[in-house]
Amino acid sequence: MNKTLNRGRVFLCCVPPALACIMLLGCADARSQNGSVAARLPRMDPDYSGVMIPPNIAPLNFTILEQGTRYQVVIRSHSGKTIRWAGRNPSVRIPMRSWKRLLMENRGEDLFFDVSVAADGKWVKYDPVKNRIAGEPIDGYVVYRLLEPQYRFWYHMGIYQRNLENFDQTCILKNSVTGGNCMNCHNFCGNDPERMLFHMRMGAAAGTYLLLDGQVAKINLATSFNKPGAYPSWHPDGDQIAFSVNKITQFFHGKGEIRDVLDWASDLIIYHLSTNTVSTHPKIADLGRMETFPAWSADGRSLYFSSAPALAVYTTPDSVVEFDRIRYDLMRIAYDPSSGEWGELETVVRSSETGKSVLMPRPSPDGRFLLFCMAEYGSFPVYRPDADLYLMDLRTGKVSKPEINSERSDTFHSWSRNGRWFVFASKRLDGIRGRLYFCHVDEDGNVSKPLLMPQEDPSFYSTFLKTYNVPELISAPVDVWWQKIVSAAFDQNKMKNVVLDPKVRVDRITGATPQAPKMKQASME
Amino acid sequence: MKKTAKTKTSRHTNRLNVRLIRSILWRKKPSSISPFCENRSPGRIMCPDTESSRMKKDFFRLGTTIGFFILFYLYIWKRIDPALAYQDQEPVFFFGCAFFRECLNQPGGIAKYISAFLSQFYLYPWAGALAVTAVAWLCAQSVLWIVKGLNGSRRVQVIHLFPAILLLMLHSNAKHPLYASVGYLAALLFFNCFIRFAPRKTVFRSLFFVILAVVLYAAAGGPFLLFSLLCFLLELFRRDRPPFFIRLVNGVFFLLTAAAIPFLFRETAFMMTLKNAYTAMLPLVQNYRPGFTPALLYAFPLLLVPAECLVKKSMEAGQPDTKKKTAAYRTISFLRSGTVWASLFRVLLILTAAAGGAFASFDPLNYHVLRVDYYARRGMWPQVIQAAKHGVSEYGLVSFHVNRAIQHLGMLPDRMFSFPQTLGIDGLFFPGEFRYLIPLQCSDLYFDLGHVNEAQHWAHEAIALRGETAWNLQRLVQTHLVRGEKEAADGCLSMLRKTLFQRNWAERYERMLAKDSLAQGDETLRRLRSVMPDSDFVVNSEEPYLNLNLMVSGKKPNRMAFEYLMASYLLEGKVGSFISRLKWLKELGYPRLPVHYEEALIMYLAERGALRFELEGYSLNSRNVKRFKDFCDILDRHRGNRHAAAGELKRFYGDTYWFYLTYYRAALAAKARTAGRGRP
Repeated sequence: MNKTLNRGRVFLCCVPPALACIMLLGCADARSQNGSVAARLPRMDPDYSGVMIPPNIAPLNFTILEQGTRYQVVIRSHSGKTIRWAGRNPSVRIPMRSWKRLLMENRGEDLFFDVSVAADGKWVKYDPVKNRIAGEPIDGYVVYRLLEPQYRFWYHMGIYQRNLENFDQTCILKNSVTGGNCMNCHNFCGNDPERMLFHMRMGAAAGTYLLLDGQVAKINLATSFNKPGAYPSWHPDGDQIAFSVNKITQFFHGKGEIRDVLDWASDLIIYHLSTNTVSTHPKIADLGRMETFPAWSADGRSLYFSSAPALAVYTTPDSVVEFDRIRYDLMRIAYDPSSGEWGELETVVRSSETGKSVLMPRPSPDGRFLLFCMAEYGSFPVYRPDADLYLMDLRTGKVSKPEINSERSDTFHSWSRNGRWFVFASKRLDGIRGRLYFCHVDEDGNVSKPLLMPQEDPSFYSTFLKTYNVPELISAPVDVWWQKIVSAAFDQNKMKNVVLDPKVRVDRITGATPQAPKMKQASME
Repeated sequence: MKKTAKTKTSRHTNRLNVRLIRSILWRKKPSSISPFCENRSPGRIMCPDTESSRMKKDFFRLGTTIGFFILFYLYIWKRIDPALAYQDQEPVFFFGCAFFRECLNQPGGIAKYISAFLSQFYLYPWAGALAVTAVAWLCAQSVLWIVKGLNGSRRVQVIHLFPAILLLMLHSNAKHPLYASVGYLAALLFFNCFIRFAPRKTVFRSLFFVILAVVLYAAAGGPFLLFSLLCFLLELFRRDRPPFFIRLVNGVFFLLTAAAIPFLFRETAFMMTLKNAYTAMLPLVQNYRPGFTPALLYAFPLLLVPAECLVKKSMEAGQPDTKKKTAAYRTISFLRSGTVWASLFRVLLILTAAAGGAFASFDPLNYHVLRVDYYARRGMWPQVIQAAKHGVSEYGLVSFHVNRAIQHLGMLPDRMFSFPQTLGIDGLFFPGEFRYLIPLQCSDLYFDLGHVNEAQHWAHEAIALRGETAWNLQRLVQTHLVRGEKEAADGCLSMLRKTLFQRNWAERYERMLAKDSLAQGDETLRRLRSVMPDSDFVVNSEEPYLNLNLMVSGKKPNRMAFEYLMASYLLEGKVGSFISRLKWLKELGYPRLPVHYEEALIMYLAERGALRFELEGYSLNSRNVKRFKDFCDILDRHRGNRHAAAGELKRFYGDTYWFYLTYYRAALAAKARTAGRGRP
């Protein structure tokens, strides 16, 4: 008996430590091994190196692109608990809680990824990947449209919102419940999810939708003066929305970039929510010009927009439209929100000086910067591979081209509420599909390297064939029940027709302006 | 004394009867008999089949079933051809969590996922037929189990095959989705589960129903309504405790729950219309209009449950007096009997029903159109022409493919008018307003023509309209590679790697992606690069043939673009434009004037009274000049009356351009004017 007990005690005392030793040896990391050091950064996908990271963003999961059989990543910062990850699969999925804690504890500090890869029994340690954690958070949500790269036809599309602090994506509305129509141009007042608008086109649900404080209103913006509105911009006071009204057709190229768009005619209108009226002014609805992409300044006392001469200027005597000559200037006009009076027009950026078309102005919420894009010609930069983002310092008027652009289309930018971050859609990965990137802008206008929106599966983008379109940052989720929108969509009694301001005296822009020339195809005939 | 089998059987029967009597007396349910077999009325003894009769019936049923499903399989495989269903539906399936999660975003996700996987086997007709046969067989088996569960002692012979016949009729239509059949099967299986495992106590029974209904709705969608109705009927007709009123209330509870479940799912889980919430995956609501067959399919089990209960009741009533045996009773008894004649009659009945159903549901025109499309997809051009002869040549898609086929076979300029060209230029390019119906086929044409941008454009349209099907993705890979868009090609290849049967293709193209020399070596890609446009132009969507001018006149000789351009001019009657482009013949290496070109030229010269024709390297064939003269003579003989001359001209000159221009072109022009398409 005693012998048995003794043997048992010996067993209990010796075996667990022995097992622990074996486990520890098995788990020994690259530091304790005699490994080599690769004097370079590891290849990873997505490229999360040298980026500025919002302190509230979801983990930046990535795939290590180095050949090996075992992988190890150590994530560390100035303080806080180091995150260690190890596995046989190069797909690195960082634990959420540890990540968030580390980021929150190290705002404004550097963040390092130490990557080690074992191949043929030998560990190779790479140079640490260095990133920086920003002091300012990014808005917690981003809203975008998801659809197949769109040509003439569509089938499925929807407006979705993604929680940037984790990987949750929910659908705000998809067109399978609204008759398969097109939905677009979602926009928010001051990044506030309680004040949202979007359009639906075609079918019984066609109209402009205002989601205000949980209620849904469907309005018909068309009047005797104008068609329904297109690109929107909320005034900071929340009571006025500037819209462009456009006549757009899509066409295709025989070589090079396939899709293109021609805007035959466009003007700007102002919709006043409280009076349900549409107004405009000859300075923003000039018959001799095409005005589009309205954007209110942060204080609401100016309206930025793109403007180009009317199409007749670009049309040859035999009615061929030289679409590749159409270039827009960036304009600004003063506005008194209380009286509705307009000031003088000024040209902020001339296309004749830049040699490019200046489009999509977006002032930052703090009024400090103006972000816009420029493309070789036209008014649809998302189809132009040469479309790039530019930043203007509104204090000095200086325009710079941040080093964030790619060889492919970079457009559809939107600021965060604090004016320190913006999101944009870039086709840099494959030239076909837009992906969302985030950049930080410091007080001096320095823009950080774009950070690809992280996904739970690091290889997500390699097999996701839909495109992200019109990203808009918002501070909280849109919380309107989709059934409310659908109910408003199909209840014709609830549709509000706007009233044209009787003071409007400008010739109308319709879908068939008599003077608009036909776009004749160049041919051998 | 030797015990004979007969003696043994009769003793066995007697033992059964004694057991039943004892159960009646002692009010115990015999363990081997279902609640429906309880004898509620003393003195009435139920009449189960005898042992030998059961054995005979079982044997015959097995034989009938096996024979039926062999014929079923062969019919689906050889006659229906699941490859045509694949051609029409292009079902999508990808391995991995993303696709599975996407399926679960709607009711019926599990059924859809399983069906998507099984539908991939349609590519191989024998395997696709096996999948359909398996589903049909399981449905038949489910019906057997239902009957057994309701009426344990009864032996069915052929009735379980009726759903299979109806499924055969449904699958005769290439558009019928497999998930509709799988959903129906799920409803039957769940009902079986309910019969066998539902607790007796009302409250637990109701709870069990709710659980099954919720699971079935999530897994199979709309067919759960069938399950709910069956459970309701079961409640009404089951004859054990509790009393009828309670069972009726319970049944109504089932129906109300069934009505509420889709509504609740819609409110909480799935974003969909109310109609879709109730009808998702139901074959009754498909856009291809399956007719009344789905209604019959769903009505069958709904009639089966009460019918089985009535049969059971009559069995319990026992043999009536001889004078009360009606003709109906005698007929049914004969049908149920195990005699050879009865068995043969049942087999004949089922075969007749199957044959009749198959005949009634088969659409030969649609079959042949699909067959043409099938061959065109695979580049089997002689077969395209052959298949087009089955009375479908007037169909737009057939004409479209036949013209592609004759071009690929080198016959377009010589024999184009030997084939029906009644659609004019729409037979070449397909009418613009209908191209959304065949986006991938449009991409095929542009791919053939070397118009890579448009090939990619229409491949994207195909993805938007039909989804990320394997063929759409393959086309995108090819166009991306030719255009040098490697990352985009890689994205599509990543998806193709997750398919069941396109992995090898994906791997081959991945090698080309990695090594450009391999891509250069690929004949298809090399040909495309050699003919794709070298300068930009705006695509003319209304009159696509006009762009071909730019493709022919460029630095890269493009023979197909030239032939399609010339064919377009001929079909449009633009002979002047046609003539001005004959100068490209030499450059493109034509050794002689093609027949139809010569016909058009002869006619053109004759109209202008031109005496000479000069085109370096080419001359007119005097035989064709004489033919034209004869053509005109016939017309003159009928004093210019085209209608009167039609018969004679068609017989001798029906395959000429002159005939087309005289009889079809004018009609097409008038039709175009009426439609307001502005073509002269």
